[in-house]
Amino acid sequence: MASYLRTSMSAVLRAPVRTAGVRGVARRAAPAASMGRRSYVTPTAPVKAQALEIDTEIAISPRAAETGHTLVIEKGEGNRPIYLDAQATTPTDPRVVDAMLPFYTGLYGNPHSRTHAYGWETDKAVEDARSHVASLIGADTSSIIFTSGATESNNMSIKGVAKFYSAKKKHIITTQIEHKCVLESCRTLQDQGFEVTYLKVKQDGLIDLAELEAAIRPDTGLISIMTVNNEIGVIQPMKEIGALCRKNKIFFHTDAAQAVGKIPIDVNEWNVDLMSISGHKIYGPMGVGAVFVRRRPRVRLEPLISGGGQERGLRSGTLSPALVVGLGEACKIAKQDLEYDHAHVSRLSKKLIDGLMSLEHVLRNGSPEQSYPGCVNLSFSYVEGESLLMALKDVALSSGSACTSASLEPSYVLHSLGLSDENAHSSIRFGIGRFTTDEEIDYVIELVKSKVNKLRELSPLWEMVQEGIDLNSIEWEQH
Amino acid sequence: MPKLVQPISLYRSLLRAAHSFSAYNFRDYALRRTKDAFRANRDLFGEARDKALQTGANELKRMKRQAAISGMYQTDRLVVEGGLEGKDKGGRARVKDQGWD
Repeated sequence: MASYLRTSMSAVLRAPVRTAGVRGVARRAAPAASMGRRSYVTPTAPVKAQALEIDTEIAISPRAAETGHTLVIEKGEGNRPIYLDAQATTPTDPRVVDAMLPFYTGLYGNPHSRTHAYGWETDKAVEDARSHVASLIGADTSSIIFTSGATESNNMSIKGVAKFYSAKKKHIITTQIEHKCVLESCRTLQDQGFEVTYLKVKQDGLIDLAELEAAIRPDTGLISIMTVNNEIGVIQPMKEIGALCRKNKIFFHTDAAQAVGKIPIDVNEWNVDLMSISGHKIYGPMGVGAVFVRRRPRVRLEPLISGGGQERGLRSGTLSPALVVGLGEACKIAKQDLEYDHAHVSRLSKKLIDGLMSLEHVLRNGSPEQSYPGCVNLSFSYVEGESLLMALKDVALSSGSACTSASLEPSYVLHSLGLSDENAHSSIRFGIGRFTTDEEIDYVIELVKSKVNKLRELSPLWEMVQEGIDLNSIEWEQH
Repeated sequence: MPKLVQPISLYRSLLRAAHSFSAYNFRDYALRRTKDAFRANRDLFGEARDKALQTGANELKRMKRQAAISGMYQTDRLVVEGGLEGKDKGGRARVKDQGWD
Protein backbone atom coordinates (compact mmCIF):
# COMPACT_ATOMS: atom_id res chain seq x y z
CA MET A 1 0.00 0.00 0.00
CA ALA A 2 2.81 2.42 0.93
CA SER A 3 4.67 1.76 -2.31
CA TYR A 4 1.44 2.42 -4.18
CA LEU A 5 1.27 5.84 -2.58
CA ARG A 6 4.90 6.53 -3.24
CA THR A 7 4.63 5.86 -6.95
CA SER A 8 1.64 8.14 -7.15
CA MET A 9 3.45 10.85 -5.23
CA SER A 10 6.50 10.69 -7.47
CA ALA A 11 4.20 11.01 -10.44
CA VAL A 12 2.82 14.18 -8.90
CA LEU A 13 6.26 15.67 -8.65
CA ARG A 14 7.13 14.66 -12.18
CA ALA A 15 4.16 15.95 -14.08
CA PRO A 16 2.75 19.46 -13.79
CA VAL A 17 -0.19 19.40 -11.46
CA ARG A 18 -3.15 21.21 -12.81
CA THR A 19 -6.08 20.43 -10.63
CA ALA A 20 -9.41 19.56 -12.07
CA GLY A 21 -12.11 22.08 -12.41
CA VAL A 22 -13.21 22.93 -8.88
CA ARG A 23 -11.82 26.41 -9.19
CA GLY A 24 -12.81 27.46 -12.65
CA VAL A 25 -16.25 25.97 -12.99
CA ALA A 26 -18.72 28.38 -14.46
CA ARG A 27 -21.39 29.19 -11.99
CA ARG A 28 -24.88 28.91 -13.22
CA ALA A 29 -26.65 32.21 -13.57
CA ALA A 30 -29.11 32.60 -10.73
CA PRO A 31 -32.69 32.53 -12.03
CA ALA A 32 -33.52 35.65 -10.05
CA ALA A 33 -30.93 37.66 -11.95
CA SER A 34 -32.43 36.69 -15.27
CA MET A 35 -35.78 37.95 -14.03
CA GLY A 36 -34.18 41.32 -13.38
CA ARG A 37 -34.20 41.19 -9.60
CA ARG A 38 -31.08 41.86 -7.60
CA SER A 39 -29.50 38.83 -5.93
CA TYR A 40 -26.35 38.00 -4.05
CA VAL A 41 -25.09 35.64 -6.68
CA THR A 42 -23.97 37.10 -9.97
CA PRO A 43 -22.91 35.12 -12.96
CA THR A 44 -19.18 34.82 -13.47
CA ALA A 45 -17.67 36.83 -16.27
CA PRO A 46 -17.21 34.55 -19.30
CA VAL A 47 -13.43 35.06 -19.28
CA LYS A 48 -13.05 33.39 -15.90
CA ALA A 49 -15.76 30.79 -16.40
CA GLN A 50 -13.73 28.06 -18.08
CA ALA A 51 -13.04 24.65 -16.71
CA LEU A 52 -9.32 24.24 -16.63
CA GLU A 53 -7.75 21.64 -18.82
CA ILE A 54 -7.12 18.46 -16.84
CA ASP A 55 -3.69 17.08 -17.41
CA THR A 56 -4.13 13.70 -18.97
CA GLU A 57 -1.61 12.05 -16.68
CA ILE A 58 -3.24 12.77 -13.37
CA ALA A 59 -6.72 12.90 -11.90
CA ILE A 60 -7.91 13.48 -8.37
CA SER A 61 -9.32 10.34 -6.91
CA PRO A 62 -13.12 10.44 -6.96
CA ARG A 63 -12.99 9.18 -3.40
CA ALA A 64 -10.96 12.19 -2.25
CA ALA A 65 -14.03 14.08 -1.09
CA GLU A 66 -15.34 11.20 1.00
CA THR A 67 -12.20 10.05 2.66
CA GLY A 68 -10.62 13.42 3.17
CA HIS A 69 -7.41 12.20 1.60
CA THR A 70 -6.17 14.10 -1.40
CA LEU A 71 -4.88 10.93 -2.91
CA VAL A 72 -3.73 11.78 -6.36
CA ILE A 73 -3.91 8.73 -8.54
CA GLU A 74 -2.44 8.28 -11.93
CA LYS A 75 -4.94 8.09 -14.75
CA GLY A 76 -4.91 4.49 -15.84
CA GLU A 77 -5.12 3.23 -12.28
CA GLY A 78 -8.31 1.32 -11.75
CA ASN A 79 -11.15 2.25 -9.51
CA ARG A 80 -13.09 -0.97 -9.69
CA PRO A 81 -13.21 -2.64 -6.25
CA ILE A 82 -11.62 -5.97 -5.42
CA TYR A 83 -14.28 -8.65 -5.27
CA LEU A 84 -14.35 -10.44 -1.93
CA ASP A 85 -18.04 -11.37 -1.69
CA ALA A 86 -17.96 -14.95 -2.96
CA GLN A 87 -20.90 -15.98 -0.74
CA ALA A 88 -23.19 -13.47 -2.43
CA THR A 89 -22.30 -14.62 -5.91
CA THR A 90 -19.28 -15.75 -7.89
CA PRO A 91 -18.02 -14.63 -11.30
CA THR A 92 -19.18 -16.90 -14.11
CA ASP A 93 -16.16 -18.98 -15.13
CA PRO A 94 -15.17 -18.29 -18.77
CA ARG A 95 -15.26 -22.04 -19.43
CA VAL A 96 -18.89 -22.08 -18.31
CA VAL A 97 -19.71 -19.15 -20.61
CA ASP A 98 -18.03 -21.02 -23.43
CA ALA A 99 -20.22 -24.06 -22.81
CA MET A 100 -23.38 -21.92 -22.69
CA LEU A 101 -22.88 -19.78 -25.80
CA PRO A 102 -23.74 -22.43 -28.43
CA PHE A 103 -27.20 -22.62 -26.88
CA TYR A 104 -27.72 -18.92 -27.32
CA THR A 105 -26.55 -18.99 -30.93
CA GLY A 106 -27.19 -22.07 -33.03
CA LEU A 107 -28.59 -24.78 -30.77
CA TYR A 108 -31.86 -23.15 -29.87
CA GLY A 109 -34.23 -26.10 -29.79
CA ASN A 110 -36.64 -26.87 -26.97
CA PRO A 111 -35.24 -29.88 -25.11
CA HIS A 112 -38.75 -31.29 -24.68
CA SER A 113 -39.42 -31.43 -28.44
CA ARG A 114 -39.18 -35.10 -29.21
CA THR A 115 -39.75 -34.96 -32.95
CA HIS A 116 -36.73 -33.24 -34.46
CA ALA A 117 -32.98 -32.87 -34.21
CA TYR A 118 -33.10 -29.44 -32.60
CA GLY A 119 -34.89 -30.95 -29.64
CA TRP A 120 -32.76 -34.08 -29.50
CA GLU A 121 -29.46 -32.22 -29.42
CA THR A 122 -30.51 -29.87 -26.61
CA ASP A 123 -32.06 -32.78 -24.75
CA LYS A 124 -28.78 -34.64 -24.92
CA ALA A 125 -26.94 -31.60 -23.60
CA VAL A 126 -29.41 -31.29 -20.71
CA GLU A 127 -29.01 -34.95 -19.80
CA ASP A 128 -25.21 -34.66 -19.92
CA ALA A 129 -25.42 -31.67 -17.59
CA ARG A 130 -27.66 -33.65 -15.26
CA SER A 131 -25.08 -36.42 -15.02
CA HIS A 132 -22.33 -33.88 -14.23
CA VAL A 133 -24.39 -32.42 -11.38
CA ALA A 134 -25.23 -35.89 -10.07
CA SER A 135 -21.64 -37.13 -10.10
CA LEU A 136 -20.48 -34.08 -8.12
CA ILE A 137 -22.70 -35.04 -5.18
CA GLY A 138 -22.52 -38.82 -5.58
CA ALA A 139 -26.15 -39.23 -6.65
CA ASP A 140 -28.06 -41.05 -9.39
CA THR A 141 -28.60 -39.02 -12.55
CA SER A 142 -32.37 -39.45 -12.43
CA SER A 143 -32.64 -37.93 -8.97
CA ILE A 144 -31.55 -34.43 -10.06
CA ILE A 145 -34.28 -31.90 -10.87
CA PHE A 146 -33.38 -28.54 -12.38
CA THR A 147 -34.98 -25.44 -10.88
CA SER A 148 -34.53 -21.70 -11.03
CA GLY A 149 -32.19 -21.56 -8.06
CA ALA A 150 -31.61 -22.68 -4.52
CA THR A 151 -34.51 -20.58 -3.21
CA GLU A 152 -36.94 -22.49 -5.42
CA SER A 153 -35.26 -25.78 -4.50
CA ASN A 154 -35.60 -25.01 -0.80
CA ASN A 155 -39.25 -23.98 -1.14
CA MET A 156 -40.00 -27.06 -3.23
CA SER A 157 -38.34 -29.47 -0.82
CA ILE A 158 -39.71 -28.11 2.43
CA LYS A 159 -43.23 -27.26 1.36
CA GLY A 160 -43.50 -30.24 -0.97
CA VAL A 161 -42.47 -32.88 1.55
CA ALA A 162 -44.43 -31.30 4.39
CA LYS A 163 -47.64 -31.15 2.38
CA PHE A 164 -47.34 -34.65 0.92
CA TYR A 165 -46.92 -36.31 4.30
CA SER A 166 -49.08 -33.86 6.23
CA ALA A 167 -51.64 -36.50 7.24
CA LYS A 168 -49.37 -38.12 9.80
CA LYS A 169 -46.28 -35.87 10.01
CA LYS A 170 -46.93 -32.40 11.29
CA HIS A 171 -43.60 -31.39 12.80
CA ILE A 172 -40.51 -29.89 11.17
CA ILE A 173 -37.13 -29.20 12.75
CA THR A 174 -34.73 -26.56 11.44
CA THR A 175 -32.11 -24.20 12.85
CA GLN A 176 -32.04 -20.49 13.63
CA ILE A 177 -29.16 -19.81 11.25
CA GLU A 178 -30.81 -21.10 8.08
CA HIS A 179 -31.13 -19.02 4.95
CA LYS A 180 -34.10 -16.68 4.80
CA CYS A 181 -35.93 -18.80 2.19
CA VAL A 182 -35.90 -21.83 4.50
CA LEU A 183 -37.09 -19.80 7.48
CA GLU A 184 -39.83 -18.15 5.45
CA SER A 185 -41.01 -21.48 4.03
CA CYS A 186 -41.23 -22.86 7.55
CA ARG A 187 -43.12 -19.79 8.66
CA THR A 188 -45.73 -20.16 5.91
CA LEU A 189 -46.11 -23.82 6.88
CA GLN A 190 -46.69 -22.73 10.47
CA ASP A 191 -49.50 -20.52 9.21
CA GLN A 192 -50.94 -23.60 7.53
CA GLY A 193 -51.01 -25.64 10.72
CA PHE A 194 -47.59 -27.27 10.95
CA GLU A 195 -45.35 -27.04 14.02
CA VAL A 196 -41.75 -25.96 13.58
CA THR A 197 -38.87 -26.19 16.05
CA TYR A 198 -36.05 -23.71 15.40
CA LEU A 199 -32.95 -25.18 17.03
CA LYS A 200 -30.48 -22.87 18.71
CA VAL A 201 -26.83 -23.10 17.75
CA LYS A 202 -23.81 -23.11 20.04
CA GLN A 203 -21.51 -20.14 20.20
CA ASP A 204 -19.33 -21.53 17.45
CA GLY A 205 -22.29 -21.88 15.10
CA LEU A 206 -22.63 -25.67 15.20
CA ILE A 207 -25.81 -27.38 16.30
CA ASP A 208 -25.90 -29.55 19.39
CA LEU A 209 -26.66 -33.14 18.34
CA ALA A 210 -28.13 -33.96 21.75
CA GLU A 211 -30.52 -31.04 21.41
CA LEU A 212 -31.50 -32.21 17.93
CA GLU A 213 -32.20 -35.70 19.19
CA ALA A 214 -34.27 -34.33 22.05
CA ALA A 215 -36.34 -32.24 19.64
CA ILE A 216 -37.37 -35.23 17.52
CA ARG A 217 -40.99 -36.29 18.04
CA PRO A 218 -42.97 -39.22 16.64
CA ASP A 219 -44.69 -36.90 14.18
CA THR A 220 -41.51 -35.23 12.87
CA GLY A 221 -41.50 -35.46 9.09
CA LEU A 222 -38.57 -33.33 7.98
CA ILE A 223 -35.30 -31.97 9.33
CA SER A 224 -33.68 -29.13 7.38
CA ILE A 225 -30.13 -28.07 8.25
CA MET A 226 -27.81 -26.21 5.90
CA THR A 227 -24.42 -27.74 5.18
CA VAL A 228 -22.27 -24.62 5.02
CA ASN A 229 -23.62 -21.39 6.44
CA ASN A 230 -23.44 -18.45 4.07
CA GLU A 231 -22.59 -15.86 6.73
CA ILE A 232 -20.08 -17.57 9.00
CA GLY A 233 -19.01 -20.55 6.91
CA VAL A 234 -19.47 -23.28 9.52
CA ILE A 235 -19.88 -26.85 8.29
CA GLN A 236 -22.48 -28.80 10.25
CA PRO A 237 -21.84 -32.44 11.28
CA MET A 238 -23.74 -33.84 8.28
CA LYS A 239 -22.86 -37.50 8.68
CA GLU A 240 -24.09 -37.64 12.30
CA ILE A 241 -27.28 -35.73 11.52
CA GLY A 242 -27.96 -37.99 8.55
CA ALA A 243 -27.47 -41.10 10.64
CA LEU A 244 -29.87 -39.72 13.25
CA CYS A 245 -32.51 -38.99 10.61
CA ARG A 246 -32.20 -42.40 9.02
CA LYS A 247 -32.51 -44.08 12.41
CA ASN A 248 -35.74 -42.20 13.14
CA LYS A 249 -37.04 -42.46 9.55
CA ILE A 250 -37.20 -38.69 9.09
CA PHE A 251 -36.48 -36.98 5.78
CA PHE A 252 -33.24 -34.99 5.82
CA HIS A 253 -33.11 -31.87 3.67
CA THR A 254 -30.01 -29.70 3.40
CA ASP A 255 -29.40 -26.39 1.71
CA ALA A 256 -25.99 -27.10 0.19
CA ALA A 257 -25.78 -23.97 -1.97
CA GLN A 258 -22.52 -22.83 -0.34
CA ALA A 259 -21.11 -26.35 -0.01
CA VAL A 260 -21.46 -27.92 -3.45
CA GLY A 261 -18.19 -27.93 -5.35
CA LYS A 262 -16.31 -26.56 -2.35
CA ILE A 263 -16.21 -29.51 0.07
CA PRO A 264 -16.56 -33.19 -0.86
CA ILE A 265 -20.22 -34.24 -0.74
CA ASP A 266 -21.67 -37.74 -0.86
CA VAL A 267 -25.43 -37.92 -0.44
CA ASN A 268 -25.30 -41.65 0.30
CA GLU A 269 -22.63 -41.33 2.97
CA TRP A 270 -24.54 -38.48 4.59
CA ASN A 271 -27.99 -40.13 4.20
CA VAL A 272 -29.35 -36.95 2.66
CA ASP A 273 -32.81 -37.19 1.07
CA LEU A 274 -33.10 -33.69 -0.41
CA MET A 275 -30.35 -31.26 -1.32
CA SER A 276 -30.53 -27.76 -2.82
CA ILE A 277 -27.90 -26.63 -5.28
CA SER A 278 -27.33 -23.10 -6.58
CA GLY A 279 -25.72 -22.29 -9.91
CA HIS A 280 -24.25 -18.88 -9.25
CA LYS A 281 -22.41 -19.92 -6.09
CA ILE A 282 -20.18 -22.36 -7.99
CA TYR A 283 -19.07 -20.11 -10.84
CA GLY A 284 -22.11 -20.97 -12.92
CA PRO A 285 -24.85 -18.73 -14.32
CA MET A 286 -27.46 -16.99 -12.20
CA GLY A 287 -31.05 -18.13 -12.50
CA VAL A 288 -30.49 -21.87 -12.36
CA GLY A 289 -30.21 -24.39 -9.58
CA ALA A 290 -31.01 -27.99 -8.89
CA VAL A 291 -32.50 -30.18 -6.22
CA PHE A 292 -31.53 -33.74 -5.41
CA VAL A 293 -34.65 -35.78 -4.62
CA ARG A 294 -33.74 -39.28 -3.51
CA ARG A 295 -35.29 -42.15 -5.45
CA ARG A 296 -34.25 -45.09 -3.29
CA PRO A 297 -35.96 -44.98 -0.76
CA ARG A 298 -38.36 -42.76 -2.67
CA VAL A 299 -39.08 -39.26 -1.43
CA ARG A 300 -42.47 -38.02 -2.55
CA LEU A 301 -43.29 -34.36 -2.77
CA GLU A 302 -46.15 -32.17 -3.85
CA PRO A 303 -44.91 -30.06 -6.75
CA LEU A 304 -44.86 -26.31 -6.41
CA ILE A 305 -45.31 -25.63 -10.13
CA SER A 306 -47.92 -27.49 -12.16
CA GLY A 307 -47.78 -27.86 -15.90
CA GLY A 308 -46.64 -30.24 -18.62
CA GLY A 309 -45.03 -32.76 -16.28
CA GLN A 310 -41.38 -32.05 -17.08
CA GLU A 311 -38.68 -33.08 -14.59
CA ARG A 312 -40.60 -36.16 -13.37
CA GLY A 313 -43.66 -34.00 -12.77
CA LEU A 314 -41.94 -32.29 -9.87
CA ARG A 315 -41.03 -29.09 -11.72
CA SER A 316 -42.89 -28.34 -14.91
CA GLY A 317 -41.68 -25.76 -17.36
CA THR A 318 -39.32 -25.61 -20.32
CA LEU A 319 -35.72 -25.94 -19.26
CA SER A 320 -33.25 -23.41 -20.55
CA PRO A 321 -30.55 -25.52 -22.18
CA ALA A 322 -28.01 -22.73 -21.86
CA LEU A 323 -28.51 -22.28 -18.11
CA VAL A 324 -28.68 -26.00 -17.44
CA VAL A 325 -25.56 -26.69 -19.48
CA GLY A 326 -23.85 -23.84 -17.62
CA LEU A 327 -24.69 -25.46 -14.30
CA GLY A 328 -23.49 -28.83 -15.59
CA GLU A 329 -20.21 -27.41 -16.80
CA ALA A 330 -19.70 -25.56 -13.51
CA CYS A 331 -20.24 -28.81 -11.61
CA LYS A 332 -17.86 -30.68 -13.94
CA ILE A 333 -15.11 -28.11 -13.41
CA ALA A 334 -15.78 -28.08 -9.67
CA LYS A 335 -15.43 -31.87 -9.49
CA GLN A 336 -12.12 -31.80 -11.41
CA ASP A 337 -10.66 -28.91 -9.47
CA LEU A 338 -12.08 -29.49 -5.99
CA GLU A 339 -8.77 -30.18 -4.22
CA TYR A 340 -6.91 -27.57 -6.24
CA ASP A 341 -9.42 -24.82 -5.47
CA HIS A 342 -9.66 -25.88 -1.85
CA ALA A 343 -5.87 -25.68 -1.46
CA HIS A 344 -5.80 -22.25 -3.09
CA VAL A 345 -8.67 -20.87 -1.02
CA SER A 346 -7.25 -22.31 2.22
CA ARG A 347 -3.86 -20.74 1.58
CA LEU A 348 -5.34 -17.31 0.89
CA SER A 349 -7.72 -17.64 3.82
CA LYS A 350 -4.89 -18.47 6.23
CA LYS A 351 -2.92 -15.49 4.96
CA LEU A 352 -5.90 -13.19 5.42
CA ILE A 353 -6.76 -14.44 8.89
CA ASP A 354 -3.16 -14.34 10.11
CA GLY A 355 -2.79 -10.83 8.72
CA LEU A 356 -6.00 -9.45 10.19
CA MET A 357 -6.05 -11.22 13.53
CA SER A 358 -2.64 -9.74 14.30
CA LEU A 359 -4.67 -6.64 15.19
CA GLU A 360 -6.01 -6.54 18.73
CA HIS A 361 -9.65 -7.18 19.61
CA VAL A 362 -10.58 -9.01 16.43
CA LEU A 363 -12.98 -11.94 16.83
CA ARG A 364 -13.58 -14.70 14.36
CA ASN A 365 -17.26 -15.66 14.18
CA GLY A 366 -17.92 -19.35 13.77
CA SER A 367 -15.87 -22.38 14.63
CA PRO A 368 -12.38 -22.06 13.10
CA GLU A 369 -11.92 -25.83 12.67
CA GLN A 370 -15.33 -26.81 11.32
CA SER A 371 -15.68 -24.16 8.69
CA TYR A 372 -15.13 -23.58 5.01
CA PRO A 373 -11.97 -21.45 4.64
CA GLY A 374 -13.43 -19.33 1.88
CA CYS A 375 -15.90 -17.64 4.24
CA VAL A 376 -14.19 -15.57 6.93
CA ASN A 377 -16.39 -13.49 9.21
CA LEU A 378 -14.49 -11.18 11.54
CA SER A 379 -15.72 -8.66 14.11
CA PHE A 380 -13.51 -5.63 14.67
CA SER A 381 -14.39 -4.35 18.13
CA TYR A 382 -14.58 -0.64 18.88
CA VAL A 383 -15.01 0.19 15.22
CA GLU A 384 -18.36 1.28 13.88
CA GLY A 385 -19.44 -1.11 11.16
CA GLU A 386 -20.89 1.28 8.62
CA SER A 387 -17.90 3.61 8.80
CA LEU A 388 -15.57 0.66 8.34
CA LEU A 389 -17.49 -0.44 5.25
CA MET A 390 -17.36 3.09 3.86
CA ALA A 391 -13.64 3.24 4.49
CA LEU A 392 -13.19 -0.04 2.64
CA LYS A 393 -14.71 1.23 -0.57
CA ASP A 394 -11.88 -0.32 -2.57
CA VAL A 395 -13.09 -3.80 -1.65
CA ALA A 396 -16.48 -5.33 -2.37
CA LEU A 397 -17.48 -6.83 0.97
CA SER A 398 -20.52 -7.72 2.96
CA SER A 399 -21.19 -6.78 6.55
CA GLY A 400 -23.14 -8.17 9.46
CA SER A 401 -26.21 -6.07 8.91
CA ALA A 402 -26.53 -5.29 5.24
CA CYS A 403 -26.91 -8.90 4.20
CA THR A 404 -30.44 -9.62 5.15
CA SER A 405 -32.31 -6.36 5.17
CA ALA A 406 -32.15 -2.78 4.10
CA SER A 407 -32.60 -1.71 7.71
CA LEU A 408 -29.75 -1.46 10.15
CA GLU A 409 -30.84 -4.52 12.06
CA PRO A 410 -27.87 -6.73 12.83
CA SER A 411 -27.80 -10.10 11.14
CA TYR A 412 -29.94 -12.77 12.81
CA VAL A 413 -27.17 -15.32 12.26
CA LEU A 414 -24.67 -13.30 14.28
CA HIS A 415 -27.33 -12.72 16.90
CA SER A 416 -27.86 -16.46 17.24
CA LEU A 417 -24.15 -16.85 17.95
CA GLY A 418 -24.61 -14.60 20.95
CA LEU A 419 -22.79 -11.59 19.54
CA SER A 420 -23.63 -8.23 21.08
CA ASP A 421 -25.25 -5.61 18.86
CA GLU A 422 -22.06 -3.57 18.53
CA ASN A 423 -19.97 -6.57 17.53
CA ALA A 424 -22.63 -7.75 15.10
CA HIS A 425 -22.58 -4.33 13.45
CA SER A 426 -18.77 -4.32 13.21
CA SER A 427 -18.47 -7.66 11.52
CA ILE A 428 -17.26 -8.03 7.99
CA ARG A 429 -17.53 -11.14 5.84
CA PHE A 430 -14.62 -11.84 3.49
CA GLY A 431 -15.46 -14.28 0.70
CA ILE A 432 -12.49 -15.85 -1.05
CA GLY A 433 -12.98 -17.78 -4.26
CA ARG A 434 -11.24 -19.53 -7.12
CA PHE A 435 -10.37 -16.27 -8.85
CA THR A 436 -9.04 -14.36 -5.83
CA THR A 437 -5.35 -13.53 -6.12
CA ASP A 438 -2.47 -13.09 -3.68
CA GLU A 439 -2.10 -9.41 -4.58
CA GLU A 440 -5.76 -8.78 -3.75
CA ILE A 441 -5.38 -10.41 -0.34
CA ASP A 442 -2.20 -8.42 0.38
CA TYR A 443 -3.95 -5.20 -0.63
CA VAL A 444 -6.97 -6.01 1.56
CA ILE A 445 -4.84 -6.85 4.60
CA GLU A 446 -2.94 -3.56 4.38
CA LEU A 447 -6.10 -1.55 3.72
CA VAL A 448 -8.14 -3.10 6.55
CA LYS A 449 -5.30 -2.73 9.04
CA SER A 450 -4.76 0.92 8.22
CA LYS A 451 -8.48 1.80 8.22
CA VAL A 452 -9.25 -0.08 11.43
CA ASN A 453 -6.34 1.61 13.21
CA LYS A 454 -7.37 4.99 11.88
CA LEU A 455 -11.00 4.53 12.97
CA ARG A 456 -9.95 3.23 16.36
CA GLU A 457 -7.76 6.29 16.90
CA LEU A 458 -10.83 8.44 16.40
CA SER A 459 -12.86 6.43 18.89
CA PRO A 460 -13.09 7.58 22.54
CA LEU A 461 -14.20 4.08 23.54
CA TRP A 462 -10.93 2.75 22.21
CA GLU A 463 -9.01 5.28 24.30
CA MET A 464 -10.81 4.03 27.39
CA VAL A 465 -10.09 0.43 26.51
CA GLN A 466 -6.41 1.24 26.02
CA GLU A 467 -6.34 2.79 29.48
CA GLY A 468 -7.74 -0.42 30.87
CA ILE A 469 -11.23 0.83 31.78
CA ASP A 470 -13.89 -1.85 31.68
CA LEU A 471 -16.62 -0.44 29.46
CA ASN A 472 -19.34 -2.41 31.22
CA SER A 473 -18.55 -0.68 34.48
CA ILE A 474 -19.17 2.81 33.13
CA GLU A 475 -22.35 4.54 34.17
CA TRP A 476 -23.30 6.65 31.20
CA GLU A 477 -24.82 9.97 32.06
CA GLN A 478 -28.47 10.31 31.23
CA HIS A 479 -29.38 13.53 29.41
CA MET B 1 -1.66 -40.31 -37.82
CA PRO B 2 -2.61 -37.94 -34.97
CA LYS B 3 -0.71 -34.70 -34.88
CA LEU B 4 1.95 -34.69 -32.16
CA VAL B 5 1.52 -31.88 -29.68
CA GLN B 6 4.73 -30.71 -28.09
CA PRO B 7 4.32 -29.80 -24.41
CA ILE B 8 6.61 -26.77 -24.57
CA SER B 9 4.85 -25.15 -27.50
CA LEU B 10 1.46 -25.94 -25.96
CA TYR B 11 2.60 -24.39 -22.69
CA ARG B 12 3.80 -21.23 -24.42
CA SER B 13 0.59 -20.92 -26.44
CA LEU B 14 -1.51 -21.36 -23.31
CA LEU B 15 0.44 -18.70 -21.46
CA ARG B 16 0.15 -16.32 -24.39
CA ALA B 17 -3.60 -16.87 -24.55
CA ALA B 18 -3.87 -16.43 -20.78
CA HIS B 19 -2.05 -13.09 -20.95
CA SER B 20 -4.57 -11.83 -23.48
CA PHE B 21 -7.51 -11.98 -21.04
CA SER B 22 -8.70 -8.49 -20.36
CA ALA B 23 -10.15 -9.25 -16.92
CA TYR B 24 -7.59 -9.26 -14.12
CA ASN B 25 -9.01 -12.19 -12.13
CA PHE B 26 -9.47 -14.47 -15.13
CA ARG B 27 -6.03 -13.62 -16.46
CA ASP B 28 -4.37 -14.44 -13.16
CA TYR B 29 -6.34 -17.66 -12.77
CA ALA B 30 -5.56 -18.84 -16.31
CA LEU B 31 -1.82 -18.25 -15.79
CA ARG B 32 -1.78 -19.90 -12.40
CA ARG B 33 -3.88 -22.88 -13.44
CA THR B 34 -1.80 -23.52 -16.57
CA LYS B 35 1.48 -23.42 -14.66
CA ASP B 36 0.17 -25.65 -11.88
CA ALA B 37 -1.36 -28.15 -14.30
CA PHE B 38 1.87 -28.51 -16.28
CA ARG B 39 3.87 -28.80 -13.08
CA ALA B 40 1.57 -31.52 -11.73
CA ASN B 41 1.58 -33.51 -14.97
CA ARG B 42 5.31 -33.17 -15.55
CA ASP B 43 6.10 -36.84 -14.93
CA LEU B 44 3.32 -38.39 -16.99
CA PHE B 45 4.17 -40.57 -19.95
CA GLY B 46 2.39 -42.79 -22.43
CA GLU B 47 -1.38 -42.68 -22.82
CA ALA B 48 -1.95 -40.47 -19.78
CA ARG B 49 0.47 -37.93 -21.22
CA ASP B 50 -1.27 -37.90 -24.59
CA LYS B 51 -4.62 -37.49 -22.90
CA ALA B 52 -3.33 -34.59 -20.81
CA LEU B 53 -1.88 -32.92 -23.89
CA GLN B 54 -5.17 -33.34 -25.71
CA THR B 55 -7.00 -31.75 -22.77
CA GLY B 56 -4.48 -28.92 -22.91
CA ALA B 57 -5.10 -28.40 -26.63
CA ASN B 58 -8.86 -28.21 -26.05
CA GLU B 59 -8.35 -25.77 -23.20
CA LEU B 60 -6.23 -23.63 -25.51
CA LYS B 61 -9.08 -23.34 -28.00
CA ARG B 62 -11.52 -22.47 -25.20
CA MET B 63 -9.16 -19.92 -23.74
CA LYS B 64 -8.63 -18.16 -27.07
CA ARG B 65 -12.37 -17.83 -27.62
CA GLN B 66 -13.01 -16.57 -24.12
CA ALA B 67 -10.07 -14.18 -24.16
CA ALA B 68 -11.51 -12.64 -27.32
CA ILE B 69 -14.91 -12.23 -25.64
CA SER B 70 -13.24 -10.82 -22.54
CA GLY B 71 -11.72 -8.17 -24.77
CA MET B 72 -15.09 -7.33 -26.33
CA TYR B 73 -16.83 -6.68 -23.02
CA GLN B 74 -14.31 -4.85 -20.90
CA THR B 75 -14.75 -3.18 -17.56
CA ASP B 76 -12.61 -0.71 -15.67
CA ARG B 77 -9.38 -1.81 -14.14
CA LEU B 78 -9.34 -3.11 -10.57
CA VAL B 79 -7.76 -1.00 -7.83
CA VAL B 80 -5.06 -3.58 -7.38
CA GLU B 81 -4.02 -3.83 -11.03
CA GLY B 82 -0.63 -2.30 -11.58
CA GLY B 83 -1.08 -0.68 -8.18
CA LEU B 84 1.54 -2.46 -6.12
CA GLU B 85 4.04 -2.87 -8.94
CA GLY B 86 3.76 0.66 -10.22
CA LYS B 87 2.20 2.22 -13.27
CA ASP B 88 0.57 -0.21 -15.64
CA LYS B 89 2.79 -0.39 -18.70
CA GLY B 90 -0.14 -0.31 -21.10
CA GLY B 91 0.00 -2.64 -24.03
CA ARG B 92 -3.58 -3.56 -23.37
CA ALA B 93 -5.93 -1.27 -25.22
CA ARG B 94 -8.90 -0.39 -23.09
CA VAL B 95 -12.07 0.24 -25.04
CA LYS B 96 -15.11 1.45 -23.17
CA ASP B 97 -17.70 2.13 -25.82
CA GLN B 98 -20.21 -0.14 -24.18
CA GLY B 99 -21.57 -0.92 -20.78
CA TRP B 100 -21.51 0.82 -17.49
CA ASP B 101 -19.68 4.10 -17.11
